[in-house]
Amino acid sequence: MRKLLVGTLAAAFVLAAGWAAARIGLVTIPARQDIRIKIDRNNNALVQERRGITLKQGMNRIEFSWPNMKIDFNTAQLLPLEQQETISILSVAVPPNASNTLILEVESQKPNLVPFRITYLTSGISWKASYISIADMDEKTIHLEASVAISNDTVEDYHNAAFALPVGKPFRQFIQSGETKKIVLFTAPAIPVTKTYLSDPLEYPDAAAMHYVFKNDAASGLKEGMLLPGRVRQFKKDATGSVAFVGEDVLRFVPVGDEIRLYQGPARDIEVERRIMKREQKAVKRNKKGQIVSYDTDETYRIAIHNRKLSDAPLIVRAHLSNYWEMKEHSDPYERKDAGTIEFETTVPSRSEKEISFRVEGKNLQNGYVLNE
Amino acid sequence: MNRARMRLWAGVCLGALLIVGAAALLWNRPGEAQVQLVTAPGRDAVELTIYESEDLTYAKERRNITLRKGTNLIQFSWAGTQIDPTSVQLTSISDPEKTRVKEAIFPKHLNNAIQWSVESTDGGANVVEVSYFIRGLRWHADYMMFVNSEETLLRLSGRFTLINRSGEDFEDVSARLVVGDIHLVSEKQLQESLRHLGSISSKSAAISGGRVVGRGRSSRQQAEALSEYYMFAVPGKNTLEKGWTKKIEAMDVQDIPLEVVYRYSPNERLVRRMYAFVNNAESRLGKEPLPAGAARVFMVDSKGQVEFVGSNRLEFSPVSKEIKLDLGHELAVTVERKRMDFKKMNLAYNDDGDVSHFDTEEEIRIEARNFRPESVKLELPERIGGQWEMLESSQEYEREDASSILYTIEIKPGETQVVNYRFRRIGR
Repeated sequence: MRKLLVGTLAAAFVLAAGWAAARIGLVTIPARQDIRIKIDRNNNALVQERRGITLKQGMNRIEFSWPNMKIDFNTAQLLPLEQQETISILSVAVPPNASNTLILEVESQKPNLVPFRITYLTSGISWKASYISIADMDEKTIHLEASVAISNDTVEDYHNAAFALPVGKPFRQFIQSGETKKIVLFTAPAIPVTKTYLSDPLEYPDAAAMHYVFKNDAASGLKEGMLLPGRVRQFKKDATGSVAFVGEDVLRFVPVGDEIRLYQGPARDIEVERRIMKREQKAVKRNKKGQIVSYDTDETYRIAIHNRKLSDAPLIVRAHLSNYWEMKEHSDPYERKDAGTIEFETTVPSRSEKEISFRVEGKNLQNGYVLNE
Repeated sequence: MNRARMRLWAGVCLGALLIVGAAALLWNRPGEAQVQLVTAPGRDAVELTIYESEDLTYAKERRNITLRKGTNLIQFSWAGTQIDPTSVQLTSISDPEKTRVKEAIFPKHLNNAIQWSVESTDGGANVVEVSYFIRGLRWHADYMMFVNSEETLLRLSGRFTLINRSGEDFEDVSARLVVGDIHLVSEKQLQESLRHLGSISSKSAAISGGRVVGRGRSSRQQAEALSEYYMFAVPGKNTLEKGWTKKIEAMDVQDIPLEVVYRYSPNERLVRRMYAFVNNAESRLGKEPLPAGAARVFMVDSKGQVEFVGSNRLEFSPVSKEIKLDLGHELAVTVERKRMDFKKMNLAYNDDGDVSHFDTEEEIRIEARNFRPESVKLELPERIGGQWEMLESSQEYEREDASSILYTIEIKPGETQVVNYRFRRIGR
């Protein structure tokens, strides 16, 4: 395994003293310390590490090379962490036919062992977050376990590196070249959740979608701050004491205090049937050519909900309206969520049917209908 | 039998399998303290939850394992099977408080293997559960239906068919079958979920933190999933050897009240014949939903002679739902539909003298005849588009929506019934 090295004859990272090209005065390099790896969402990893380099008085030449590593050489940097006033980096050069080598010319006012920070951006180190949620039988709480898998496809081993992902606390890990390691980031044992049923014809046609809703806050038992996006494998405890897999959802990026909605799929026991029972044009105005220029509409909608469950179903029924409309009659109270969206909140008793109907007039339409189906 | 294909080894040392029974061997990982390796015997209880809509099975197996105090390295490998590596989990059942999985490692030098680093406070005998998703196991339901010659009573027999193409033998397993669709996340959806996270710009090598952009709106078009799901437990323990298909009797219910319904299909200009029954207690059903599956229908007369009536797919039927099984065309019930009258009226003209508006009046006559030896119930769906009003109708009808009405009529054997209606359509 070839490694990113400093000052070995295998020529990985060579520190040579002396202005002349000859590699003389090779020094013993201490082990690298304080490795920090920050990986972004595109799996670009910014690696920072600390190494002590012995400089002699006068001009020093430091060679930094990385065979078999996918390092972006524009991002490779060596900076002294101490005694900046006595050290000047005079030049950074790339030798001919060597895209993975940098040669630095460093002038030091006195001989010294100086800690340097080496920084480079590389590909080949990646992360993937995943979650397991286990809901209780009564679906009042869920147990959430967050894990992250770190894969190291570089030729380097990273010992005791501090990994920082786009969000969350850094953690230390040792990861060998070629290895993938999955670790648990945190466990929230009993997050209180609300189960909701939502019928929205645009998002979930013909069905009532089920969600578990909870907040990303300390009251829910989530103290991790923002959560990494990832796949959630959802399980539910069943009557036999075992758990059953009930499907997946994506946990999207959730700021602290915001709501997390985990999709549970459509409720197979709740059928929502939407029908337009009447659609008429009124107050039709025509131009001189006899073409219709404006009209009102009078439309009656019927939403029939069958609850075939053994329990009552609290349900939000959403309807999308557009343009300028006026509600004329409605069987149930509704709430206007925005100019074009209304919601009925209702509970359909077990094994029964509920019908919501409403009549809207669309005003001064020039083309199109009031309601988007 | 290739029972040992999927093994829980404890202790692979430099690629060689550890001898079973050797409880402790030293494993040296560079940079880490030496850890204990343990061996595990074969699996004890296996539970399979097999899904219908996806090629997916959730498998759980229990193993008795002896742990050393401290860190143990446990290896699980699955060559030749279709296990999803991201799904493999180890959990302690007997002592979860004192047994902690520190990390899971997918080593470079091993294919299809995972190693768990397990910290045990006390050590000793432990029951662990290994769970994973595996592909290649499928199930479906199918039905045999027997009706009496009067077509008033139905006997419904259901079977489960289990197919094992997973590459693995499963002996003495408890199987559970899940009805319906399950929502799974695609790689694309996962990528989209990362959109709002910051990225390191390669130009500046600057580190940008996670920015709060707000939640993305999800699209659910392809999302079809289960949660208030139904699981059928296959009775007893079953052995599912690889490559085999197994049929298991699931239900057999007699004397289900049956109704025969006929429905006119305007596109085909033919009548279709359907068996209707309800999945409820009055029908001696209603304990659970019926999974979708092929249904083959036979008629059994009083002498026990059997005749094939037809076959179709029975759709998923929740409790209390009326099931209508379409048995195909019925030529002994005929429908003739005609437009008897058409009038264009209330014409309006624009300044250029062109027609700008008109209304129409239409009269429709539907003549239905029953050549069958018994009375039939016939449904006649009619579509009337646009804005319209009914002027006259010979029978009552049900308005299904703005442009659909339904007549339901009874016709005695050998008789003819006529439906007549007249409507006005308002032009634009």
